[in-house]
Amino acid sequence: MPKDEKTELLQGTLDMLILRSLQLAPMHGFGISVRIRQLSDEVLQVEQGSLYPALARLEEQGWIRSEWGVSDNNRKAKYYTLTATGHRQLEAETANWRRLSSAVNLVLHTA
Amino acid sequence: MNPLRRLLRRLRGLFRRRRLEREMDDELRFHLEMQAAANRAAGMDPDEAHYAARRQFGHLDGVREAMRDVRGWVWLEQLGRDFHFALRALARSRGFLVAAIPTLAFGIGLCTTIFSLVNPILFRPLPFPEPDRLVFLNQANAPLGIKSSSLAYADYHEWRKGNRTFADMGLFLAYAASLGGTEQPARIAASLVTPSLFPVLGVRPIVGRGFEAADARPEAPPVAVLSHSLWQKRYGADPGVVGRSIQLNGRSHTVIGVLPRGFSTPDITDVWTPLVISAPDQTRGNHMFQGIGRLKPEVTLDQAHSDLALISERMAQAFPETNRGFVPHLLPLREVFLKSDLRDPCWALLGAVGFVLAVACANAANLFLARALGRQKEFAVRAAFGATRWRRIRQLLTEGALIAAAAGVLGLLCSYAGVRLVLALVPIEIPPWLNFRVDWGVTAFSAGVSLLTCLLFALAPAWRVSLATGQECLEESTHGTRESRHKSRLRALLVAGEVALATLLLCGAGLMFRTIRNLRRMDTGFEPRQLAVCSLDLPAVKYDTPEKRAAFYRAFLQKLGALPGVESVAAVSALPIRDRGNFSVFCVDGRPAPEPGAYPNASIRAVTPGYFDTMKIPLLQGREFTAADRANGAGVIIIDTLFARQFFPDVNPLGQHLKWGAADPTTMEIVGVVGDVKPFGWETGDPQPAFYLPHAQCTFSQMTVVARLAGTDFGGFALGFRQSLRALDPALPSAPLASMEEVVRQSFWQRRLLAQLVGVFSALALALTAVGIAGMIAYTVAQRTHEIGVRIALGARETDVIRLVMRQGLNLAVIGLIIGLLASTGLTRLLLSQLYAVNPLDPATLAASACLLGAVALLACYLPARRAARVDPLTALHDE
Repeated sequence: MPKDEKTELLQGTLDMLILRSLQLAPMHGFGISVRIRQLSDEVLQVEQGSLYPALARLEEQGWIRSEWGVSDNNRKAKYYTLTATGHRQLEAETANWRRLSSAVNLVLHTA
Repeated sequence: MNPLRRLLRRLRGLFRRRRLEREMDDELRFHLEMQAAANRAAGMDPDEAHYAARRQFGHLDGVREAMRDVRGWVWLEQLGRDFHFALRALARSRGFLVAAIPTLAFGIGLCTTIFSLVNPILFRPLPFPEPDRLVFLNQANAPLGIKSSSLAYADYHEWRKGNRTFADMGLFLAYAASLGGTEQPARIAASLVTPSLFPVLGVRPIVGRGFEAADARPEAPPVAVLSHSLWQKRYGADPGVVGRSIQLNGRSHTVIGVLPRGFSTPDITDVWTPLVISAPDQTRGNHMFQGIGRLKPEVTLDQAHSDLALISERMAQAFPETNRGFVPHLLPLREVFLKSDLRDPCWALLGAVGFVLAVACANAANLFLARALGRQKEFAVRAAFGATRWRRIRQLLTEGALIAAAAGVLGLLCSYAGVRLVLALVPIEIPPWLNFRVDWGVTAFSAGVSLLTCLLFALAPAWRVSLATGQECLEESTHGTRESRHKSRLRALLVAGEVALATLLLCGAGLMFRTIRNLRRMDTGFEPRQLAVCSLDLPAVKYDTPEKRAAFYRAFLQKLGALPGVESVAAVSALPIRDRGNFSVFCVDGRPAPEPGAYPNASIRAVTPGYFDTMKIPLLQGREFTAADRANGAGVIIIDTLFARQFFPDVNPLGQHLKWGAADPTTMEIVGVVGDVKPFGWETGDPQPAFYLPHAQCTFSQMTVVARLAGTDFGGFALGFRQSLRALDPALPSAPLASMEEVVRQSFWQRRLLAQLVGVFSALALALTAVGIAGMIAYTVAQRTHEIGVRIALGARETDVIRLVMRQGLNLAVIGLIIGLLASTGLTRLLLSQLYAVNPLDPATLAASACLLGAVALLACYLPARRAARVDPLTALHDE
């Protein structure tokens, strides 16, 4: 039975999306997956199984930092914030992505 | 994040594991609840919302694992878990532990013991600052055939003045002294040293001071420096000993200092006194001293050699009669302190003990393999659950590591006792700079060896077992199948290897035993049984003239001869086998005189009348010395057979004349020819000709009294000896009396010790191999019980079953034996320096070792096989 085709996300791409979604405001893990889905018009649905390891990895690299806070519905949740290094990393990766995707577009559309 | 912060974070992760786990669970739970709430808001009922959330999340444990991986330290946690599991698994198999740990502890303990013993000899640097800068100074004279001789003071003086490559040099000369004073006189070892020697060696006294240039002047008051052991033994380590006076050889010396523990010149010395030379030029040609020099930094031995050679060349031209042909001969000091005859057996021991360890490891590996094979199902299940091959191997390696660690600790503890045991077998006094303690270096070695054994005995079986898959396990359960070929190959390899190593050790031990037997039966040239020997040294102060010295020995020997139980008594200046003796140049009268500097050399020995009869040295021609050969009489000389053969090959030596002595040659007439005796250093080097002089005409003050006893009452003779000595001169110390047999035995103590140790090792290896073979047969029998039961039920006889079971064991034993014998033919050559009159490829020894091993292997195969044959077929068939 054909379902919505899951667009597979590469690991590096997922990192970039997480950083982007945190650029606007600090958020917890669930909120990040919701935000990505919203920002991509429901196309990208992040696999929870890869989200949390990615968050741990990003924190290990020092691009985001975490602290425990209280969520909207008064529950304890871990909030992630983008660090200064994270900002710079996001800019670098965005530039890289633009370059890469325009190159791929060029190849696909040239006769 | 910079690396430091990352490391700190990781360390935090290590210590706050439980809290981080809890946080992780909280975070994931929060996500699930939010997702479930979203699902409920989307219209699902609560239960479905919850399950949908779980499903969307995916494999929870996988996510947790991935997050833990990022945190790091996963490997450490896994190691901890392996450790814990290994402990539990081992606790369940106590039988295996009881078999494996003592086997390995034996091997590791032996290795550690031998390493503690050889470490100070082979590896540890000498206890001087920068010991590789120190050089032993000798001279050589190729035209005269002298490979290495002591220094003349005049030569040392020139070297010290004119060299450019040495920081400084010093001389020493050992002599025997009697220490008088308040207590009974004792014989101690003393040494004359130049004031420069202690600074050259870099040793500073711990109490008082060393020698200064002023102490070496002829008019200076006599002083002395004590060794640490003498200070402890006789003065109770009293720091107030400085300033006290002691009596050395009748002269009063003031103690000015004490040297630190563990220090000595190459000969063990108790007291040092300054070397006083009033007229250096008169010492030319008198080669008495030994020298040590400290090279300047970055100077090589060759450079120093060329430097000194130039000076020697100059001296040879200025003083041809005494110095022609003498060149410097330099050796690294280590080679003099730790001679090769001490180092070679050490290497042999290390090799031998390595073999024993390998055999012990092979046995342990077999046990380990058998046990691991029994757990194949467990490992197949682990594999099915996703454990990687590496993890399965690691599990078994952890168990192996635990066993090796336990064995290592046990072995290290045993080595303390082992070292003491072996040292008790050493008959000579151990020099103070050799410290056989079990220190950090030895402990590190022991740990390293344990690690190596673990890898050796655990890795191959672990690898083998980790190959198990579910398929194989299912196949295993069908009964009656033989063990798969590659499984038994490993075990066969181990057993064959054991047999080969045991054969090698047996051959080595056999050769050493034959060597010792040859040494014991060697013809020394005299009769050592019932011969008592004792050395005496007459102090120069009291016995200053030759007449006094001759008179003393004459009177003393007369007194001794009158004692009951004494057949005959005499004295000699250099005891065969034990004493180095003196050498002198000579020339035969009536023959063209050799070039100055090319005179032949011979060993000279002064003897009293009746010496040859007492020692039972055969008199082949002419006569012995008698009391008629007096000091003012005609000079007489007796030569030995080697001398006669070399210098009078086709003429009768009797009546010929010789001139000996470099400074003031005297002409002597040859009156007799006697048989050769074995000199000091007989097992190496070419024998040198010797001639004997009557003591009356060559009155050395240091002589060894030899007495042939009618019986074996050495104690009674010793008493009479001391009484006679005290009657003549109460101030003379009496040296300990020894039996000549003991002296001969001690001369090859290194070889005897080596033979004993290698013998013990080979016996151990043989026992371990026997156990290994028996174990393998027993295991095979257990595997094939069913098959054996069927055979017996079908009518096989007992002998048939025995033969069947033994076949594999015997095949392996034969293969191992052949490999071992082949290896022996190659490796026993390494023992060559230790063998005496035995060919390393001696067929009788190899054959005997092979037979012994064959017999043991046969027995080891037969006993378990016999048990197998007695199996009741019914029980066997039911036993699945």
